[in-house]
Amino acid sequence: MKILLVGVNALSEPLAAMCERGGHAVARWETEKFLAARTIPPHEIFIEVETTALEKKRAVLERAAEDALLFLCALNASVTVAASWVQNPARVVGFGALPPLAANGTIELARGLQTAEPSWERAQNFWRALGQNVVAVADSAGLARARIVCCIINEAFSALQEKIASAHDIDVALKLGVNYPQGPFAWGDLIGLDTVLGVMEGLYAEWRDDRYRPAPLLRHYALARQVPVRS
Amino acid sequence: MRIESVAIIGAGTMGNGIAYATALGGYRVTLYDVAPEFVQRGIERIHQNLAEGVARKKLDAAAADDAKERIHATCELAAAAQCDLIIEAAPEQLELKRQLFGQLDAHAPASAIFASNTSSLSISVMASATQRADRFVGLHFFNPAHLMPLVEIVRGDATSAETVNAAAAFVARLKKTAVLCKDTPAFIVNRVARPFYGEALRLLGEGAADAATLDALMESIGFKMGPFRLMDLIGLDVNFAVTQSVYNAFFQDPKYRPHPIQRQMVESGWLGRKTGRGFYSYE
Repeated sequence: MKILLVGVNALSEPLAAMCERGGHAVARWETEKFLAARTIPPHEIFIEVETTALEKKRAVLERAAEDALLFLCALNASVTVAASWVQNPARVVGFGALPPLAANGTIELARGLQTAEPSWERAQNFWRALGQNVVAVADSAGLARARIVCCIINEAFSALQEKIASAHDIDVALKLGVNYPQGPFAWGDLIGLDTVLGVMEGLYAEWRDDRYRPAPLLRHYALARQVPVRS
Repeated sequence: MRIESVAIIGAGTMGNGIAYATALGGYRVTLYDVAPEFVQRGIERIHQNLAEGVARKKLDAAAADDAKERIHATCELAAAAQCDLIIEAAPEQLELKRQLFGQLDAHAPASAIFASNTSSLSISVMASATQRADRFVGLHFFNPAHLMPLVEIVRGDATSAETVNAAAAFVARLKKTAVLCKDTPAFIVNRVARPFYGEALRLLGEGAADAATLDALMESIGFKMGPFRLMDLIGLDVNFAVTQSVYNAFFQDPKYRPHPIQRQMVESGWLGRKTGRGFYSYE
């Protein structure tokens, strides 16, 4: 299959590698270049991983070929909402994963209200053929894992902002106190703070509930880019 | 400030676990509780845990015997107060703890450091019941305290740098890892870990997936136990109490809002493993 993968985040490279190992031809595009391109290569499957700004996500999705199976990364928007932006939303399926992406890992899939049964089945078969364990979850921004993990990271930033402890000590505390696989700041670096912020903003937009308000310090570091988190 | 002798006030689950680690760290330990049978139960527990450590080859027999020798039991608070460091591990009731600390303050040497193992109450508020707020610190151990490697050292508003240093040296001698934290509600772990339970409960309440599926998802990214299996282990009542305490301590900030599922299950007596029924059935 010809796959067009648009967006660059911590998932894009391992996703492309996984698809190539599965025998697909993958064209990777950075969001800005994709939006500026006069013509886009033909594709049968379109995978979107623009997890920062919703307006960029929308612009990317609007350019997907009308008949391609469309996977949208549901980390920062629900499937139904994002599918409402595209032509033929029946072929849209949402997916969710967090880095590190394992070859024999688990992928979350969600269908929007508009998703048609054949697209849903094709979507599940596609990921299973790539060796992924498919878990279906209900459609809501962030799906399950990213929602939980990013809320933890967001809370760590709010604790750091209040200077209750150093970033190092917060990471150590969560690893040793509750056996987390990674400290929240180390995990945030791995996911990308712009994506973590995208998840929080997606949750906030979806629920309009103050519990999802992004910590200002998370936004600062996400926008400062590449600046290591300091205590 | 040299610490040689340590009193542990309260011989329950946390107290006897702390006494175990402290005795193995080479300190003389006085274990206090209000009634002889409570202290005795605590001592027996320590002996069991030491025997288990030896059986699992985590401890050598001589070290376990030495640790036993170093622990003394008492029901006299004034006698327990004659130590360099006094760690309180009484039930989580502010008035009870303030009273205890007030009494200890009257009997303990002026140089003694006071510590509380509280997980949810303010160190500064407890310290205000004594004349030694500068020598008052939080030492928050995690359950089971004889095994868990982390201690949160909580600096109250009046805690001196010397007291923090002495606490850090004490934790290091227990071969545990200390993190330093300001006196704020729920400290580090109980606060930052809240969404692990809170968001999982919301997802369950929304019908995003069932508990077993959500657990498997979280385990797929490296958590040793998913949120529902973990709540069943901790006890839903304990987890709900912590959630409510954090929520109220932050004046009902919606980030920490408990979930109706928790209350309903707690009130139904579905507390997890200990009652045979929680998110899973253990019968």
